[in-house]
Amino acid sequence: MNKTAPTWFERQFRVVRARRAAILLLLAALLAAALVGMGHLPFSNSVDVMLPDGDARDSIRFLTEASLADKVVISLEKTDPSLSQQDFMHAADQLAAGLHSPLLEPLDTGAAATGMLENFTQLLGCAPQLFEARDLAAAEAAVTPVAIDQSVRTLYGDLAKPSSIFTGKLARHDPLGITRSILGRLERLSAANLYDVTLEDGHLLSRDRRHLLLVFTTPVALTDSKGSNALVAHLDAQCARLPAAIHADVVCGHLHTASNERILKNDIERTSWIGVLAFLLIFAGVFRDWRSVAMLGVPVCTAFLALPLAALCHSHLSYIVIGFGMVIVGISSDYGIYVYVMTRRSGQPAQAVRRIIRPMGMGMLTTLAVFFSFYFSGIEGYRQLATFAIFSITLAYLASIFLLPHLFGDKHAQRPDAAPAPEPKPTPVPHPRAWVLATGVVFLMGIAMISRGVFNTDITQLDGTDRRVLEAEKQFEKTWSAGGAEQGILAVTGSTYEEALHRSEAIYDQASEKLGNRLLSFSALWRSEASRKANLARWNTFWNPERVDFVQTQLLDSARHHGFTATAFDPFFEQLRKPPALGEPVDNSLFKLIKDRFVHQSATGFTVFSFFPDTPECTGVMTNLAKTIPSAFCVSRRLLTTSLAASIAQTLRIVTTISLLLVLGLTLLLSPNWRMALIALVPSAVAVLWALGIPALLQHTLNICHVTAAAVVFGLCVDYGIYMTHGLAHGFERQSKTTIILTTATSIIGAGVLLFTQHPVLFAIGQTLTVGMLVGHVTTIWAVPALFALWGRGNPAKPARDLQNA
Amino acid sequence: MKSSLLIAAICLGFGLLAAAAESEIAPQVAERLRQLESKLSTVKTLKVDFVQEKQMAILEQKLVLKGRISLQQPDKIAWRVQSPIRYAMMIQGATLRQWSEDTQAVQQFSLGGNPVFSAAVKQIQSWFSGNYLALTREFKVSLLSESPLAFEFTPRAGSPAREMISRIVMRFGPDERFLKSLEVVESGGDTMRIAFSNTTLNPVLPKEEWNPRHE
Repeated sequence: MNKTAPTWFERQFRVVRARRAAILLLLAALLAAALVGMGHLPFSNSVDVMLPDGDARDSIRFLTEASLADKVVISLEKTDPSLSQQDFMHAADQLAAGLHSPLLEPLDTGAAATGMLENFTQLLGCAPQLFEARDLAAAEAAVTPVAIDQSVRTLYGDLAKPSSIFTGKLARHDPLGITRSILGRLERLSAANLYDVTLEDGHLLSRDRRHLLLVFTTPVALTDSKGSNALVAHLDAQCARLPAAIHADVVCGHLHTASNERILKNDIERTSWIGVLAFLLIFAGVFRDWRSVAMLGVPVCTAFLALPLAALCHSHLSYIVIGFGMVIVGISSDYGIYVYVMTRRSGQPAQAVRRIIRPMGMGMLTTLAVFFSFYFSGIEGYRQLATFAIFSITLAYLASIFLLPHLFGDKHAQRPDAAPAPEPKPTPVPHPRAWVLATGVVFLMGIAMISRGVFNTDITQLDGTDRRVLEAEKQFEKTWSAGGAEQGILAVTGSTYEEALHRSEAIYDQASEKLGNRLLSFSALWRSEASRKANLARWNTFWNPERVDFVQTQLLDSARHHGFTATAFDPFFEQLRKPPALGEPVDNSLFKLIKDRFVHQSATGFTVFSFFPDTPECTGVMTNLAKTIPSAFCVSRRLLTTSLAASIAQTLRIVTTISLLLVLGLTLLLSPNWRMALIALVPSAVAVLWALGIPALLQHTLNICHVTAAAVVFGLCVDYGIYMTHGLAHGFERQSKTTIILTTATSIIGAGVLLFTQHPVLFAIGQTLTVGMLVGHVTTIWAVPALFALWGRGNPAKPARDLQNA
Repeated sequence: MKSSLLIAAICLGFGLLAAAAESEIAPQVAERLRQLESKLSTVKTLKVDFVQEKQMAILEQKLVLKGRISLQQPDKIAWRVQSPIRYAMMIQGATLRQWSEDTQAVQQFSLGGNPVFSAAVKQIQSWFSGNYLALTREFKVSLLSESPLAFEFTPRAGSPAREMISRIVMRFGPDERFLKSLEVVESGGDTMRIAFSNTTLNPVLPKEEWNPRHE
């Protein structure tokens, strides 16, 4: 018997075997700690982890975090025309009363509505602070004798109008229309609902009066999943009490939070059960050996250990990463299967395992390479996934090599005197050229299918929110949208209120020249103190005592002529003679209402918002101007779409290039020769084409999840190719086939369970992986032996280098 | 993304929401208003002449306006002043169009986008629409007279109308199918009285009736 000195692997094998109980106990303690720690891991259900870093993500995050999303809006629809308007409003009032709770506070701006006249007249008192250079020409024109007479005549005519009940009072404060532009700006901002609503008996109604709007504020943060669930439950319970003739559509960010979490958790639970059952069935059915359960136990345990390790590297973990858990278990169970298949009939498990350390390691490295490339994706969700996968796969690989053989028990124990299993002879491949030709046809079919693919960068595809929530939002827009273009938002921040105002007006002055009234900005009404001081000085210069006297004489003359009393315009003259003050009308509820709408305070400072139509022209102008001011940025659907498309395209370029280079490099570097390397890559190439081609054929639009999952397919199928070529080169082709069938089965189970998910991210990944691995498997079993038979051995005179000893 | 924008727009967009007042009203008054509403509901279209007298602190003399009002349920009102000046105002839903002889131009705007005009127009719609029970949210109502039927509406504390109106008295004709007169005392003391005559109930109103330029 040819005895050689034991290798390092055999030596450690003996050492571990002698201490396996202690080692297992230690690992069990670690696992228990990990399981306990799971309950404390910071999980997140937000879909924004799937957004590329940069402007788009910052914009969305800003919108959700800047206390903007503290509103809950309920659109009530009268579905039965026989329901009286009074009963409709009464039901709405009852709902509002029922919803009023610590979770929901009705938005009470009644003061602004009730004190409108008082508010308007009070704000006209601020006219000196708001008297801008552009108002000067109109003011000059208004104080000529002819213009004064015309103004008074018009005023008399206005008294015939029903609206004089309101406007008549305002006219006493400004008969010449000097502050008309201010009034116009004030009206525009106060009425800037962006949606088409009318106020009726204290209710916001649609034009057709069939819809009624209730608006609430909530202290529940969007990121608070527990609070969001409680809020949604409260909304559901109260809305369920509405009469049958009224339908409610609720719109708020919390519905997304609750819905995303519910769907992800349901998906994770469902896939876990289906996966575990499928794994157990396969293992019990194929191996009929209860100890083979250890093969499933190892990847599951390593996944549980990997989660807290990944959490240590990231501030939080997305539920989407957890949803990917079964896929990782499917991938990492491959190593256990390799070890089990190679050792179960071997009398010398240490030697058997040693023979596959290298090909298995190569496979692991190519798989890790793909996940490693995710770090360059610029997407937090993928970085988290990469960390989780790398820890999980590496631990599973190490456990499979160093621990698993000992878990198979004495049946697989090392018997030093046992002879190595005889090397089986390679099975000849019938008609290899036909198989290669068939592979070529399959390859071309993949290209044909993929050419039909349509790539979509719209991230709403990744939002797993319940369709009913999205339908309610669509219905809301249809009902309440004023029919204009979607609005873009300009946000200008500053560490102080004055700084934010100053920056906002700098943009406003330039933008309003180009966009006119299309820009809705707080700066149109209220400016920084410096600007208001300048306005005040302008007002004082204009309304010098001589001019005041002149206007008073002229006005009284005209007033008398048109039948007005001598005191009709006293409020106007009182205002002119009163020394103007500089300051914000903080007690004016209308001003407060407008300010609350356009200015937001946060822990870091103040933000002034402006709105503009999201058209190419307006968005282009605003974006360019925003670049010139620090801390200013625009958010709009158009911008987000463009920005995301660019970011995602770049992400895909980086991920696919890096993963391709790494996998190709590793395969070429670690394969015995370039021919075997190329053959090993064929299943990957075909698998990727079909993985993306089948969704395209099914007319599913491709998104970033499909493409990144295809990169994983590439890395995984290289494993099959490597293992098959290795088996063919070393004569254990049968074991290789068995192993590949089993590993593919487990990987497909891991990925296939995602086809039972509702969340679009998980489904897209599951679809791509399942199709890809299935095709990769078939290509490996049928095409690789044929390719190997034709070209794999190279020069017959020069046998392939033994991979094991390479 | 779309949802984020939508929610942001909603959060930044909505401001006005008046607190709903409880409509406390005496049962017999409520019953009488219901009866009145029932009778008025048979009037689908209407054409009536009016004389409006305005006593205003800013005018030396009483302003007397003559004109015609046309109404078509549920949401069309035409208000025409024929003397001493010519003016027309048409309300259809939330859209208002007006014409005056001074400008000779038709202006059109949405009431939703003009709170000043909207508040005044809302009052007019309420007076002529016949939905008086709805008015009880903003007004206290008392029965002044059973025959001829007359009600007094006084704005409730905190209601938007209180700022403009001190009280309104509505008097109805013998058949109680339309207003005989309307008196408004404004909060500043100005008064307005509108007397209605030549009332035609449920006439066929031509399309031109809703054209502000039409005589």
